[in-house]
Amino acid sequence: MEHHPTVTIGRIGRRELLRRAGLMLGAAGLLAACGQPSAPAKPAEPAKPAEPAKPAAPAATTAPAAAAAPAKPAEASKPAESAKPAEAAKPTPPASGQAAAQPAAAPAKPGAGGTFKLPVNANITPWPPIGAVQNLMVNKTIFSQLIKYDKGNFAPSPDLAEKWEVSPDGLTWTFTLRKGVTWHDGKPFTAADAKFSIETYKDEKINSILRSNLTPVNRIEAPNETTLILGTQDKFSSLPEILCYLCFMLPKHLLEGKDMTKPPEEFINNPIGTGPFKFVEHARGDHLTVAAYDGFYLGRPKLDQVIYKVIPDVNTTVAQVRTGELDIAFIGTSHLDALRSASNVRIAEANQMDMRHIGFNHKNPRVGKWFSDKKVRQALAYAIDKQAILEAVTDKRGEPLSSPIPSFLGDWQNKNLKQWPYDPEKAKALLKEAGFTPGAGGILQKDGEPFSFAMSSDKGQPDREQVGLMVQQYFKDVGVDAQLDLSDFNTYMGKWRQRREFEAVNWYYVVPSSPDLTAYWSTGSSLNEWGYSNPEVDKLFAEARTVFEPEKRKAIYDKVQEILADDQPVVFLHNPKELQAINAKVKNFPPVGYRDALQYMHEVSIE
Amino acid sequence: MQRYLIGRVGQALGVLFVVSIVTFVLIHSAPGGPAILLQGDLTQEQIRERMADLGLNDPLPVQYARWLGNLLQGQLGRSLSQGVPVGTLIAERLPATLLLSGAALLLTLAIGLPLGILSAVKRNGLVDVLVTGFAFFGMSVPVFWLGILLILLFSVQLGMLPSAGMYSLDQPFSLGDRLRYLVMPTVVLATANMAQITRYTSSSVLAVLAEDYVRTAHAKGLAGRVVLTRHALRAALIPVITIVGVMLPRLVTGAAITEAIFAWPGMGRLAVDAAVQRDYPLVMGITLIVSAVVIASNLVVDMVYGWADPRIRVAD
Repeated sequence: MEHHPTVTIGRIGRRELLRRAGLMLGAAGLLAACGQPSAPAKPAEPAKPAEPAKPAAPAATTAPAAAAAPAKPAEASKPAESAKPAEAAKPTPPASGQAAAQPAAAPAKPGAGGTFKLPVNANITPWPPIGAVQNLMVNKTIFSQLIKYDKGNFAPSPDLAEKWEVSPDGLTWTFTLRKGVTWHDGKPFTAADAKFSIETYKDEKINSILRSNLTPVNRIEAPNETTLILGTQDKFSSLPEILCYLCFMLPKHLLEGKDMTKPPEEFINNPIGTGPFKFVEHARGDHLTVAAYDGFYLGRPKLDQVIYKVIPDVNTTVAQVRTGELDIAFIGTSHLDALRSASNVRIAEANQMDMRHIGFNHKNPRVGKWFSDKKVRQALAYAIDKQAILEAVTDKRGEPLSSPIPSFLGDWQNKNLKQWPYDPEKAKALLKEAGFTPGAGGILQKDGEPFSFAMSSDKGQPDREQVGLMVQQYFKDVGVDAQLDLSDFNTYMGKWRQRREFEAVNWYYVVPSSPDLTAYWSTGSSLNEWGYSNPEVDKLFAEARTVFEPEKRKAIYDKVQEILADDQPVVFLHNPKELQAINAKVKNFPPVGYRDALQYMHEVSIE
Repeated sequence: MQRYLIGRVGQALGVLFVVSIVTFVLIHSAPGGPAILLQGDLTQEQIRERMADLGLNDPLPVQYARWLGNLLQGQLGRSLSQGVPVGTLIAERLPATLLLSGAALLLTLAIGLPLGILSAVKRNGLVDVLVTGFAFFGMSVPVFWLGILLILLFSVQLGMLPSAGMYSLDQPFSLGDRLRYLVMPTVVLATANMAQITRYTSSSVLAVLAEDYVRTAHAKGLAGRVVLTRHALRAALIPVITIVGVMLPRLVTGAAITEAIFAWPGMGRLAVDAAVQRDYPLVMGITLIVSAVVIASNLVVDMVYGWADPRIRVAD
């Protein structure tokens, strides 16, 4: 019987079994090696586009600012190793923005300016009324505003409005618009467009992120092509700052009469603005390209093109900035090591109004009774070692906070606030004063109920998860039981914003660069998810809006900060820097967070 | 045959109907709500009003009936967060996914099948050990890790391949350019599948080689190669066809993780984003299309069985 030698069939022998087992062990070892992904291998977490919608969107929502005079330009524009202090950091008096219109830059030669590539982490919908960070990053190059934040001191400075002044009674604002500005389709921009835009943002059906900010505006008129008049019910000194915040001008001739309750399809397929770059193409899910607009009112941008690449995984953006496929990446501290050796990349630390905090639901039916007690909140503030958290999650790139205003807002920050150094003993003493007594399992109790609550946040954000773990431990040390509750972003948002069913949160807020945070801390405001209510704070925020003199405004905001720092409506943790990895060939990228920097893309160039 | 096909299509429609109901109920009962409503600046009351405008406060059966009615008129609806018709969004993403998954499937079969046969035939030899080792590696290595590693090696260190995306944005279309972008994601996707195919093929060939008729063929004095190709392989392919059938739907579902790492604008990411943002119409549209493909590929697999094994051919 012929037997083909290579086609043997039979059971696995003992030796064979051993050999295969060895192989599997080897594979297991390999797997184990892979299982602990070091920095570059952060679990891709696809379901969670790195910064899903940096609810910034929601966060990106607020209120008035009031930069103006007090901000010290020098101080504000010092950040990071990046660039020189912004040249044009002249503070603008708030009431009559007479700032000199910047002369048009020398027109650059078309075709020689190069292409700037930057990442966004999710699908883009270029429709200004919706927030979401990837959308506003695009909107900032295609559209213009009436007024924009100065890139140095965050004071309102002219954009489409050359100047503005308020009537002596403080109720009527007159904006003088630039002449000769054209939309990307060649039609002239007029005051009628400005009126149409602001009406659109105020429309309740349109769910614009500016709606509540613009509530005080009750009269909108365009008496002639270059004059826009806004009337307010009461004095509203922060109006210019509000208009700096994502208030992009929309073309009336293309949108009037359209259904804008959803992003209008025709328009988002070919958005037309007055900004430095005009829309070229959008391959959804892949990239969106804009090109220099020759007719831009400050002169043709230096760059020829800006390409937004949709890259959901932040690790990929880090690789791409190293290979030069991207000109900038927005990174976390864990990526610094990977970039240290890259000579073609410099790291810039930019200021951003990002307030990390542990928030409490003052109105929750179960835990609200504890959290609405100031002593309890103060105790929890003492219980947390903010400095240690700052070091652990930001590599010391940031500053601890005891109120919502960070130091880069210059004089707007009250420098003499009550601080909450790490002091577990004081925390315990305060909790005792608040009526808590030792209970089972080392957890304090009051009226037979253990001091235990859920602390919610979104999944897949390593920084936030680390903060959660640390805070949980700090609370445990003083006898408070915080249960971590992680869920996907939307579930979290439903709990937090939509139904306000949370007990406590470990969260962040990106807000306008302004001390006027009415929309966050006033009783019943749409963005005051915590349900915090302090009549004195309400009164002061309202009063600040009726005052036009910078010094007096500052005095009022100082007082507000004093109360907030003492009250600890939430435990303020820290304000982290935004880390930007920028290709060394890029020049003039403004030293501010990308939300603001992108409005100055016409000044950026590539060598 | 015709009657069989009509019956199968009827079944398919029934399955689709059930799938759509289940998906509809599931996505609508997921906590949270459409991102488009949660990310604005709305009070709780205004969110409720806007949900009413969108018809999201109606009882689920009413909402489902409305969706089905639109579907019967050929309307998949508009994406809540992107404002674009669902059909358009899917049509935009399908080619990218077909390209990547198609390339990956081809690579899988082109390498996985021969390797599997080889490892069965050269059982316990060095080749078998290497192939088995490779299969273990492919199955156990996480794709995000492999993806990032390849990017670090071939893009960052060696500068040979572009790290992510589908094509160069500042260059005109060229086949070479497309291929360069295709290499790494294809390899990553194919690695895991290849391992699967290799193992299945190998064990299936081994099983067939133990059959009586193979021994008979050997006994007849046929050459080993002839026995293998003419008698054993075709019979051994049945389980392999099943596995390929299971992989076929991936041609349209895409692979969310690989797509995310390589910034590939495919269906996987579209589906994940839609689910994350609770973009109800988009989730429904994608599920419907994908289910249809799963059902269709099952049908194709059943047909192919008949080719591979006459005993399971459908009687005319």
